[in-house]
Formats: sequence, C-alpha cells, structure tokens
Amino acid sequence: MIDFHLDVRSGVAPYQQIVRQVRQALLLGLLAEGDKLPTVKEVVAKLAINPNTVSKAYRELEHLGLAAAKPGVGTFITRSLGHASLTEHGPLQQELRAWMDKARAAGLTAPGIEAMFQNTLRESDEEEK
Amino acid sequence: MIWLTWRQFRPQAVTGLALLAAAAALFLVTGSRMHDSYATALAGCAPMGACDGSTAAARALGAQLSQLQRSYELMFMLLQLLVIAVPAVIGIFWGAPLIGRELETGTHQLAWNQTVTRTRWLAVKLGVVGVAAIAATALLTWLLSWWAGPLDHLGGDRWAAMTFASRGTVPLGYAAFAFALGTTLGLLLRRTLPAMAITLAVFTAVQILMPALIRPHLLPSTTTTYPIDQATTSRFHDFQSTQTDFRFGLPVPKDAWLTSQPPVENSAGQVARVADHLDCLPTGATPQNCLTSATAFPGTTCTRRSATTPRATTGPCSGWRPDSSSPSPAHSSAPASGGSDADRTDPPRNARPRTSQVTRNIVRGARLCVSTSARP
Amino acid sequence: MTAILQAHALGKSYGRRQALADCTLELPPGHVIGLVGPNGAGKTTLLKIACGMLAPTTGQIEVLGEQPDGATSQLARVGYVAQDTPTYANLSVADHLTLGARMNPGWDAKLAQARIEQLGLQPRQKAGRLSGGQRAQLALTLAVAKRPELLILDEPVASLDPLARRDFLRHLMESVAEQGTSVILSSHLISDLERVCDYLVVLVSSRVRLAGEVDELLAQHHRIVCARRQESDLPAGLIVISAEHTDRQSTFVVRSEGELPAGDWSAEHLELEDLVLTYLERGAAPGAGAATRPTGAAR
Repeated sequence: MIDFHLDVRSGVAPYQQIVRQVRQALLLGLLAEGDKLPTVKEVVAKLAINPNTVSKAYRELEHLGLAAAKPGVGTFITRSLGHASLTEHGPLQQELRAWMDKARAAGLTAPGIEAMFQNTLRESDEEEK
Repeated sequence: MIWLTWRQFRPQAVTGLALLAAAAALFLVTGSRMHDSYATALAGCAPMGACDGSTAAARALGAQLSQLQRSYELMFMLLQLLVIAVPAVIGIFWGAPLIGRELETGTHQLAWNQTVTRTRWLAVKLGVVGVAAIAATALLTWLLSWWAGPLDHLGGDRWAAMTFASRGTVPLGYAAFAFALGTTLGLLLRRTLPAMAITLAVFTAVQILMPALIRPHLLPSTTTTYPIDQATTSRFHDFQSTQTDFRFGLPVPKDAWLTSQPPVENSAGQVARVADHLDCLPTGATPQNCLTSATAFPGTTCTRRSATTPRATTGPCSGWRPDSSSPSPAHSSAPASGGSDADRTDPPRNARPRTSQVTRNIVRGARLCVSTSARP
Repeated sequence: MTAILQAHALGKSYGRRQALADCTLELPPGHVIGLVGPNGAGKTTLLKIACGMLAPTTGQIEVLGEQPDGATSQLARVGYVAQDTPTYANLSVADHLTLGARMNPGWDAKLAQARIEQLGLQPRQKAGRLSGGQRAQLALTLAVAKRPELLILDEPVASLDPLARRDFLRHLMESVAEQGTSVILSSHLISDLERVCDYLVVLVSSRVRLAGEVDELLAQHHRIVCARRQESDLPAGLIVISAEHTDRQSTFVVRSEGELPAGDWSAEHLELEDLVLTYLERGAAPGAGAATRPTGAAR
C-alpha cells in the first residue's frame, strides 16, 4: 500500500498528482502488479481532498491501463512499469552524472542545472502524455 | 420540536418551579396560621350572631380581628406585589430569551434547517412556554386568593390597584401580555439583554398607567348626585374636610367602583369652602346636620376624590366592620370622628335601591361618578 | 442530470441595500462546489436563499428541482451549516443528537453516533464548552446525519485554526465519499477550499466571474511571459484575463479552450489561488466581468 500526498501550490491538477505518484511508485518498484491501491475513502480521510478527485485519478489510471477496479473490492495495479528498481539503472545514473559534470564545466551552477533538468523533464513528461 | 422546546426551557422551568414551590410554602405556612386565627375569632362571634354587637365581648372580638388585619398588613401587600411582579419576571426570563437568544446566537439557523417548518417551530415555542407562564401565574394567583380570603372579607377593596391586579383572571392576562411582550421585544431587538430591560420598563409602565388612566374608562361610569338634606345625609358615612373643602363618604352600590367624587358644592355650583363653614367642623354638632340645617346653604354636597368600593358586607361576619380606629388598608385616609357613628346605625347599604337615588338626587354641580359593571 | 441549484436574475434587497443582485447561476450535481468571493459578494445571501431561510425579492431559484420555501419536503433534502456553526451552548452533544433524531424523519442515528465517537466528543459535554473545531464538527454531524442530498456550508472553516480546518474538511470529504452528497461550500479564501473543491464558482458583487470544474479551469489557464506586445498580437482563441507590461516584457494570464498553442513565450500553469485572484481583481475593476461566462453550463 502506498500513501499519496498533495501539493496544491504546484498548479498541477490534484488528480494528475495522484496519477503521477502512482506512476512514480510503479517506476520505483514500490507498486507491482496485483497490489491494491488505497480506497477512495482512505485517501480522502488522509488527504482531506475531494473523493471525486481520487475517483478521477483512478479512472485515469484505468484508462492508462495501469490499474483496474474490481467492484466492491478495490482498485488493483494491473501492470508494472519498472521491472527493475532505480538502483539497477546504474549505467543511466552514470550517464546523468557525466552530463552534470559537463554542465558544470560549461559554467552552470546547481540552480541552473536543476532548472534545466526540471524543464526538460516537464517537456518530456508532457510529450509522453 | 416539543422535545427541543422543553429541553431549551428546562433550566428556566426548573428555576421557576423552585421559586413557585418556595412561594407556595410561604403562602401555606403563613396562610394557615392566619386562617386559624380568623376561624377562632369567627367562632367567637357565632353565639352572638354578629361581631359588631355593642357588648364588651363583641368589641373585644372586633379588636382582635382588627389586630389580625393589621399584623398581616405588610405581608399582604408584599404577597400581592409578588403576584403582580411574577408576570414581569416571566416576561423577562421566559419571554425575552425565547427567540431573542436564538437570533443572538444564530441557533435559529440550526433549528430552521431541521425537518420542521418555521411555523411549527414558533407555534410550539410560544405554546409550551406561554402555557407554562399562564399556569404558573394561575397557581400563584389561586394561592394568594386563598391566603388573602380573610383579609379580603375584613376590609378588602376589590378595586384598589394592587388588589385588582392580583386577583382572579387579571394576573393571567398580565402573564400572557408580559410573555408576548418579552418574546416580541426579543424578536425585534435580536438581543436578549436589552429585550429583558425594555420588557421590565414597558411592563412596569403598563402596570402603573393601566389602573391610573385606562381602567376607569373601560366601562361607562354612572353619575349619581345627592342633595344634602336630612334624609340623605343620614346615609352618608365618614366626614372629611380638607384645608378648603368638605367631603362625605357617600354610599356606593356593591361591586361598583367609585372612581371620582368632587367636593361639596352649594346650590350655586361653587365648591363649599371650609372657611365659610368653620362652625361645621366636627367639634360640636355633626357636620351633616350643620350643612343641611344651614339655611344659607341649601343643597350643598360633600366631596371626596378616591377609588373605593363598599366595605365587605358579606361573609360569615357580615355585621362587623372595622371601627374608625382600624381603617382598612385601602381606606388609608383616616375618617374624621363622627363619621363612624352615623355609619353604625346604617342599614346594610347593598339593600338600598339604587335607581331611586339616581333619579331623585340631582343637584347642580355635585357629582358622584360610579363606574359599575352591574346595571342598576 | 438536473442542476442542484439554478438561479435566474436572483436578487435580495433590504430596503435600499442590495445584498444580492441579478445573480444567474447553474450548478451541476455530484460535485463539491466552492463558492468563492470577497466579503459582501452575496455568498451568504445566496446560500440562505438556497436553503429557504430568506425569500428572494427578485428572480427565481430552484434547488434540487424545487423552490426553496421552508417546507419540510425541501428541508429534509437540504442540509445547512450556517456561518460560525451555531449550536445550542447549554445543550450537550448527546442532546444535539436527540434533537436531530426528533426533528428529522430521515435521521441516521448510527451514522451520527459513529461520527461523534470518531471525533472523540464526550456525549455529556455541553456544546458551549467545545472548541471551535469541535463545534463545527458537531454542526456538520447534525447536517450530515439527516442524510440530505445537498449540503450547504457557509464559511464553515473561516474561524478555525489550520489543524481544525483540515480535520473538518477531512470529515466532510469522508461523508461525501460515503454518501455521495453534493456540497456547496463558501469561503472568501480559496486556500480554504482548494483541496476539496472539484468545482469552483467565483462570485464578485453578485456576478459569477468564473465557474467550472477545477481540473478544467487549471488546464485551461496559463500565465505566459513574452517580449512586450499588445493583447491583439496574441493568437486568436486565447482569452486574455489579465495583462501586465514592463518596458520589455508582457505577462498575460490567458484562457484557452483547447491546448495552449505553441508560441514564442514561456508558459506555465497557474495555481488555483492565483487563478481565482486574477478573476477577483478583474471583477473588482470597473466595467469588468461582462465577457466571462460560466463554463459549467457548456458541458
């Protein structure tokens, strides 16, 4: 079981935040096929958010083929995204590390690197959607 | 809805019941003692037929009853005041907060959004507390009537402001009025405390203005004029003279309320002045004789302005009336000596035909206004 | 799906003072609707009319398909928690539950009992001695346990501390999750409501400035920053909500029905509060507001 959190200041619709957090959990291997997502009521009780938001997020997950609702039982993960956990992506991390070294050499400081990373990530995120 | 009304009203009801119980205890304890003394005195009268006989024993009993009357005078007044004040207390503590507090604290919004219409909400609130208000007052009034029974017989004045306001259905009416007044003020002001204060002020004003200004005009008054001659003055009791004029105690029909009585006037319609009749002051001859016999002033009348009823002439001790040394509380101005003698010899006044007086006795300017509920 | 609330040219005046004027509004069912606006926008008046406590002086209103007139049929269907969540100070918590049970035929005693236990309220405690948060919860329990189809709450969290505020909304949302009640919540602060509302109505001086599902509103609005230019130079289809210019740069808040077209600008989404504030500022400006239309009605 995973917990959700909500950042209302992000400008990202709350239901999208939940979808994103499920995706992330899948990527990180925290969720796997067959796992049960918290019920709408549990999420609502934890986050004090609108149940429609949670339902909408779960519908979105179903639409993406990541989860399926079993009436009267709950919503379950149907597909795993990350077959391996992040630590198993050693080569990727090394590449990122090498890129960061290059960026520093090019004169970028930490905030600059972060901004560029976030921007690129968001763009690719939106493209993927 | 009845449950909520009762639940909200419960603290006030409990306080009210406690006070009522305390008052009832006071009435019962002091009342039973007084009733005992009264019964004992009356028992003494029975063998003599009446208590106002001329024997020494009868006079002793009469004095005993006067003493009884005097010793309870203060308490009598306070208890009457209590019955008069209870409607005000009800208006203040039951009426004013009834809706005022709901509006003040916003709880009407809670009540109005239950599945009960506002009409029902209001009707039940008014009904439950209103009935309680009238019932509490009724009980207290009944207690006072019982308590004061002997004193009313001895020298009660049915029409005196305090007596009238504390007997029969009058306090019930005032209770309903005070409750409605408090409730309405609470509703309009939407604040409990100001509503309470204004309820008290308005109720007090009404209690003062009502007997003074309004009650005398509720029924049309009857005016009766008496010539002062040998035939009529024998029926007058009491004689009074102020600094400037004369007044007689005129006969008043039973259940009638004497609302006004101008001073004695002469045949020219002018007030007979004391200065012109110094010889009539009760030093020697009785003033009645003096005024009537004076050939210079035929047709004068005597005047007293007060509200009074005939003294009690019914009851177990019907023959007895307090003598001039023990005036009834309502009859506060002491009658001059000489009045009582004429009084004693009177036949019971209520036996006198009224109509004949009205038609016979017309003297210009002299007026006796009698407001009465019974047609002559 | 019929609207839970439909108002047409609704107005209420007290003598010369207009508390609500010419308010036209249509709210879809199944939502938690946030009614946001500055103080004096007419929120409370609108909500009081909706639950039948006030009669409008002009216009028509229908709530759940009926005119709210204080009749029991309507009272049973609409729950209302007034501003400052009034409760009877000298009645206990248990008394309040009895009150609810005696005055509502559809009272759900089990639900009420469970909620009181969950809240940890002592049944014998007087309501006057409860904290603001607890009192609000008690008032909410009363409104929820009569099982209304529509729950109206007027500034329910305005006077609560942040923790009590979160707690109150959590319980409210749980009730919504359990019973599927439609909810209308008002506040002068969007931050009170942004977690819980999925539908938003912005009301400024009786006029609806913005209405729609929160997700859509967030998706439709962008703040774009670009080299200084006129509004008319922006592509057609973009509705400019606000514009600010410096000597070199222009910042627009724009609304687009579909995807934001690509352009030589940097675009970002607005958070809900900024979005609402933009509309409030615009609404406050003289002569503004005529161009907006409620998007909720379009679906």
